[in-house]
Amino acid sequence: MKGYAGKYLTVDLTRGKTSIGRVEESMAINYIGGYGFGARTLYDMLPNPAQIDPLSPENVLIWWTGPLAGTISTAGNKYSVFAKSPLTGIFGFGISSGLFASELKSAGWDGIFFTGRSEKPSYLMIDDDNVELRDASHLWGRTTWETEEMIKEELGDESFTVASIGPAGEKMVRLANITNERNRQVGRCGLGAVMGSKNLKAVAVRGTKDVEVFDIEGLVRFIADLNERCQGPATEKYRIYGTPANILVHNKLGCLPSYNFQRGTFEYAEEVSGEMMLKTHVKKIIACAGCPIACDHVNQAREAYEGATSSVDYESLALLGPNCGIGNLDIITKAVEICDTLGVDTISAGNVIGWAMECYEKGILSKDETDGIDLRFGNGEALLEALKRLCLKEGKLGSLLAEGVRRASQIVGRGSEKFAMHCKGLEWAAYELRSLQTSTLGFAVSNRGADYLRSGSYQVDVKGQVDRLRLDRSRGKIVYDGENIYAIIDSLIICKFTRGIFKSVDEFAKLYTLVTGLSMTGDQIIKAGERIHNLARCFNVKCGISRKDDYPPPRAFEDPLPDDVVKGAVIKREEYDEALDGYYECRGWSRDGIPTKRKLLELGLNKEAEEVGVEA
Amino acid sequence: MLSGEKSLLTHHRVVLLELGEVQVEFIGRFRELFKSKNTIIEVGSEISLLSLLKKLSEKAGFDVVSHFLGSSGEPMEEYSLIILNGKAVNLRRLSEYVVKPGDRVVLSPSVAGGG
Ligand code: SF4
Repeated sequence: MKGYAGKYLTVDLTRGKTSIGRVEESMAINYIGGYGFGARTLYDMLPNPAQIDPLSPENVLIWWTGPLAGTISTAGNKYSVFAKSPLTGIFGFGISSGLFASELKSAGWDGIFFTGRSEKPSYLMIDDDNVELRDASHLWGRTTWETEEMIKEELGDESFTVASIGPAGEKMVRLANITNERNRQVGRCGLGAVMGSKNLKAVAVRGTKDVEVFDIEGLVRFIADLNERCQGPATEKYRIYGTPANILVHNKLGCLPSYNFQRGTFEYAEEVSGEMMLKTHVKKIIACAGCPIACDHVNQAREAYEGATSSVDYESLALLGPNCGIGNLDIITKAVEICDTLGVDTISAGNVIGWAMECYEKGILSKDETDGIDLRFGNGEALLEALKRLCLKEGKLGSLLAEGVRRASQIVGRGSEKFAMHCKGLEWAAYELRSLQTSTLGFAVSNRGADYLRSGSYQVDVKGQVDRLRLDRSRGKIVYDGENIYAIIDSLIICKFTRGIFKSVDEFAKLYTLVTGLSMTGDQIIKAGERIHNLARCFNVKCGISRKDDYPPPRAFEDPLPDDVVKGAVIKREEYDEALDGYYECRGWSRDGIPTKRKLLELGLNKEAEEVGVEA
Repeated sequence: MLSGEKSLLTHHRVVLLELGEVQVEFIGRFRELFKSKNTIIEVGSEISLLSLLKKLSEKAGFDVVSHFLGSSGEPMEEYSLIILNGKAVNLRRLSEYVVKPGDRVVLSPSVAGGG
């Protein structure tokens, strides 16, 4: 089979030993790559996940590319990382872009598994077949940007690509991410903390081999067509303003979270809009390897924050901006820079600080508990100070925020759990819950926790295809279909921004076959998507997940939105229950959200049917 | 407020509409195309949303409808979005919508989500 390197590297950090494993054809066909490979291997490597402390050496850290990485495929240079998440305690998963994936594949590896814990700080160097665990004591405490530069200098070649953790990962902040090429992150689920727990500071890769594909002529023709489609209307929004274009649209629709999701509009939306950003802050627009779209807008801050640069996307902007009451692009650019360099997820950070601001304004957190910081909404300096403390676990406030919003609200109590905006422990991203209700169902049932990237179910809401201010049974099917397609996208791994250029799932299958030479139809690849999703759910069921965990936070049901355009919007519990029933029915799961033996057997998940499946 | 006038709160200011007027706001590329954040269109009484877009085309000197419907009438949902009184218009049923004086219309690129 082509496209794949056909092998993965296992690094036993405790013993400092490496070994090689093979990627079998059956694995490729059934699980595609990326998300699918991650689900398969995490399930197999952690047979009793409920017993594993995510920050102990018993956890594993798994990296996978997909079959497209390193080829000329449009926007296909992504890699994914998996572990039991220290933030959610369930299936932990993140994807990043840039050059890292193509370097790893060109070095001859589809993936890397890390087990155990290194005795002292170390980093892994991969230079084609030459693999070495190197001392990272001198890098410990360094930011992600410094680490990247120092490693390249040390290895004497700029063409090494580096993925690293910052001080937050070292200190096992549960929101810690993994950064490659300065602005690209495996952001969610705290996987940077797992790296830190293993004393693994970075992975540096250089690859010089060609990645072979099955039908190069056919692939060139198909990719030329896809690249041309990339210049068409479906991706224009990403090219011009990037995702920050969403600020004003969401504001008009009443679905822009502000003030810790107390509101769905923001009075300073214009000031932090994509339109404003392009005029005043964007310094350059860059692209990942092999991407004709180029969506990444790099900002330069001005005035008091001059010198700060960061790549600001919609989620970072909305959570660190409106959700914290901040209407100033300079402060937001600086805030994102702090997150990127010290190494935490901007979404989770903006969410938990928004929660802390609401606690402070309501008198639930005292000034003593915030270490003297006047943590009001809209106080930019307070936001920046709180962020630094979070990243470094400094003081009472930093130690609290570093736990993530679920744990922090459980520690503080006093009713603050009611407005801790998360699902399964993962902080809610920047899609308002009550004014995008199909989206909310998609977030809440996601395998990763409150996740905007697992089904794209917000699309029917914002396109006016359903009544977004209510729910019914039919929404379950929308989420189900979206999840299966997104599972394929995340397994191939293709950038989701290009999903609009594929005419049907048959084109995903065609791309797969052109690259790998393995025959695949649209129906088969959709089945693989369903298999992958079920497998990840089985892992979560072993961690104790069931229906009770597939609900949005109380605010969605209890606090009607006050904003004009969506005034009074709230989720009705009986409608949500009905939609959830509809979803489980499509999935072939029990009413308690557990995959049935019958469904698992149908998908060829025989072991899982035995271990997890229930009778219908 | 005087009778016959309706207030719209847009970007911290109140725009007073005369009887028979609709305010159209622009986001993203539509701001560039119209070289403005908003405009007012005289509609008299109730008209179809499609007719409103045609009036806008006349005013702007380019085909506004082509930003929402392709050459064979297919909805271009990945490209553009219309928000009518805070609700997203289903472009698959664009011809069914009507606009009344005092209504709020926003022309916008579609939502760009999920990386
Ligand atoms: S659309 Fe943006 S995130 Fe996606 S591959 Fe292209 S540059 Fe990277």
